[in-house]
Amino acid sequence: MLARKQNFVNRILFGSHDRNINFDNFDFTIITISIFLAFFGILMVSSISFNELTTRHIFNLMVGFVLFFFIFRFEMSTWRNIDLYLIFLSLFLLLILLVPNLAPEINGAKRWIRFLGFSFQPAELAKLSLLIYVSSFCIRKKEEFKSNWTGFWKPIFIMVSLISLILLQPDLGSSAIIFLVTLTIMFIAGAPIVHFIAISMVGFFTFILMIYLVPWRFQRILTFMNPWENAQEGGYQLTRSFSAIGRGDWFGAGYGESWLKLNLLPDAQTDFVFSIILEEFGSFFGLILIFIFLVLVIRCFMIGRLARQMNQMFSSFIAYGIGTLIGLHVFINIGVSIGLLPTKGLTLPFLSYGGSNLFLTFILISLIQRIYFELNESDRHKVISRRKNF
Amino acid sequence: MSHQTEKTRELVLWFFLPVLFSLLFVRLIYFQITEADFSFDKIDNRISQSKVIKSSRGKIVDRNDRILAEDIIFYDIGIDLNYFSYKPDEIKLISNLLNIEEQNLRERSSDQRLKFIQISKKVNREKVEALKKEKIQGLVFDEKYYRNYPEGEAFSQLIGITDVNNDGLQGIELSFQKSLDSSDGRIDLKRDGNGKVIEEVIVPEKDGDLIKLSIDSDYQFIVFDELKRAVIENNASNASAIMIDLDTEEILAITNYPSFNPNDRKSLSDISLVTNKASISLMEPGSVLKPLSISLALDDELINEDTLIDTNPGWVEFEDYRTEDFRNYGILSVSEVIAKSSNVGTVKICSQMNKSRVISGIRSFGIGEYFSEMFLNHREGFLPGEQNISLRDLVSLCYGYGLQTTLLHIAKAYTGILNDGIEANLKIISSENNEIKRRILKKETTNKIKNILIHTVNNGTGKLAKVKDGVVGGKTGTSFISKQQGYDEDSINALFVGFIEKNSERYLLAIMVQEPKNDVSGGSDVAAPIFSNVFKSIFASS
Repeated sequence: MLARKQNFVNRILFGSHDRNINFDNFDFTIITISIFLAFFGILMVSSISFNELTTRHIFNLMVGFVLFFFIFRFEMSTWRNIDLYLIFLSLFLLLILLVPNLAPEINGAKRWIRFLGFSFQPAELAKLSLLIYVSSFCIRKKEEFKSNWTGFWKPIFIMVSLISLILLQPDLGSSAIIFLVTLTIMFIAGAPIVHFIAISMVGFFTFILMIYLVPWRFQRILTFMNPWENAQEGGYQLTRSFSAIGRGDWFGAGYGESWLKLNLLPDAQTDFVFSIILEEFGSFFGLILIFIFLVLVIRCFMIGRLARQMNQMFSSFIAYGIGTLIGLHVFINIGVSIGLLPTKGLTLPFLSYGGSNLFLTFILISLIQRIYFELNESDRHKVISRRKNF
Repeated sequence: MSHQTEKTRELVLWFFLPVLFSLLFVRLIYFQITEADFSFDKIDNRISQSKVIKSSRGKIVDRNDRILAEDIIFYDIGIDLNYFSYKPDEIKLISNLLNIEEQNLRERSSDQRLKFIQISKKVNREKVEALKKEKIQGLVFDEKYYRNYPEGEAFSQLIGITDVNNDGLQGIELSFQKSLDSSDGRIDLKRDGNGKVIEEVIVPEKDGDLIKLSIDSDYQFIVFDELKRAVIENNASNASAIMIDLDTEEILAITNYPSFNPNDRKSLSDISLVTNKASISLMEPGSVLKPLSISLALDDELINEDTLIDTNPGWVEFEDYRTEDFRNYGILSVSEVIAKSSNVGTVKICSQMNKSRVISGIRSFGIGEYFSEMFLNHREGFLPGEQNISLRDLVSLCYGYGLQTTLLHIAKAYTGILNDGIEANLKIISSENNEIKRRILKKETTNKIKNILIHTVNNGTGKLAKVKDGVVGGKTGTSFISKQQGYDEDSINALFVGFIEKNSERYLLAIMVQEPKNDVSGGSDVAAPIFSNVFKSIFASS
């Protein structure tokens, strides 16, 4: 029975190759957390948006599930080799957004491409592509990258091109995430500290400039400082989010009992899903949820560290990148909800409604599993013994 | 780059992300401790709404369900100055329709400090409809219940009035406040972002109970009209009357003249007009008390109706105090003493009784008592106690001086006598009362008194009270009104208390006319005719 089951899983994961799968080769912490969060996401989306979006969300989850298995089939080296193609694809799709009348404009931003009934954000693909590209570049041009400026600026140039296109949408949140993830990978990969500080400074000042030059962004910062004084204007969303959290108190108003989801808090099912979670389940549960996300991030870091110890540098960078990417998404989304950061449209992995980010999340989880799987495959006994020391 | 630096850089990352996450922890805990309640109140206030469900005060109707008092919707009109156009023609239109001075309205509406001004109260529906048609921006119509008294001034002192909160202030409105009172309901709503109701708590309104009085409006009007005529004819200051159905002891009419228009309180110049004088105004009853005191002597069999009393020479000195009759009546039987209203005879009869008998006897009729079950505002008056009354005061008590009482008390006492000597229980609302009643006089005594009263109307002072085809009995009374400097010979109360039996109907009518200024003798020619006129009208109409 078990053998047949394993056979079935093998077929899905690896195709018809004659390979045996060992369940030890998966990271069950990540899998458990992912499944928990995915189901909790269904719960929340159905609470917030009743029926029509829930069906859509469950469908998206199933697509994500399929993506998980599809991505898992590829060896890490494959990704390493197609990094540039991914970048070109991302650039292409981002450029399509610039073509008038091709992309729908939602809330004043052009972020989505409609394709076969799916709405898809190229920016999410850009995050993945750049993650793979930078990791790959750092391996390929290891010496060049570490010693001279050109080697350093090449990935920066690609990153800047992508970010510029994303900023045109405009989507400052995704741009910031891409920037930070890229820098993180380059930092771990050993980029010269001088270069690193330089680019950090440039990035930081660009960011400040972006905020300062665009009046509504600046206004957002101001309202973030005094949300209640601007409750009718810019502080509207944030104060409503506060009200939701306040209403939830420590132990919540009960599942389905949210008031704010009833058209009082805009984007309740996407950017501000965490506020509704706090309203219905309470801040105590919110703290647990943050902790669960932290465990997920740390787990990715652990796999990254393991990969480095086994000299799988590409996998290591990817793993750290995934951890950082998910971590930053969580940090920025929750930080915005609870008033730690100015309002920024970023989704909460697994829990927010919305296809693109959900797909990206599943792909990232699939990649991290693949890395862990390959590490175990390559030296199973070694890994298990090391894991004990972890 | 060495392996070691890579490790260090990893450590930086390992350190950095958990630090970011711990910021989330700290911020969330801090928020929940310091800002949560405030934030919740904000949204709660934002989406909560409260509506009042207006309730109406109970109606008051007469025995035939004729409405005497009810709540009617009127409108208070104000202007929300934020939306007001200040167009001259609109101001003119409003002031014309609502009878406000145009200049005044212009000045008030241009006051910069105000956001809202009240311009008119208690406006009826027709005017409001007319105003609404003009579609003037900023006008606010506040629907409100106002108390309305369709039958007007004949009932105003009985029914009383309500205050600004529509709570009873006087009369039936006050004595039945508990039953009439209504309580407004509430709807507490919470609305979502689309205005859809997501939570609703309803506290239902409670309308006041209906109060059905024993009053017959037709009789009330007849009595009121006769009082009015008497006051005008005799140039009197006021008059009151109470009519009672002797079989049920229900009050059928109780009214006063002059009165006031309860629907236009602004015209009420004299606040004393609000009181129901028939039950509140205190007076010395004078001769109408004689049948009561003499009935006690009859009851004790000290005398009978034919016992002869020598009233020569028209006065008597008792305890150094001289009591006079109108003229010298000579020797009178007891019934003649009442019929001719001889003070001297009364003193002589009364002096045969001891203090406690007289005082407790008069008290047993209800004089000086408060009737808590009656639900009609009244004052208990004053009846001296036996300890602090001299013999001289005692005998003057017998002919109606030295005590303070109301017309209501007199009516109650006579009702008791006329109903075979069982204490009367006057009612203003129709109800069965099964309480065991106290006997105050023997039945034989009351029959004697009744005959004496009939005799009084047929042959004595009450001649003008006669009604064709009806058996009428009664007693007149003329009492001087005590002023600060003793009694004023020109200031009198003219009273008549009488009953009529006709076609198996039995009614009692007590009348008081105060301070008739024309040259009249008193009860016999001022009050007694009212009795006659009232029942002529009543039987003519029925």
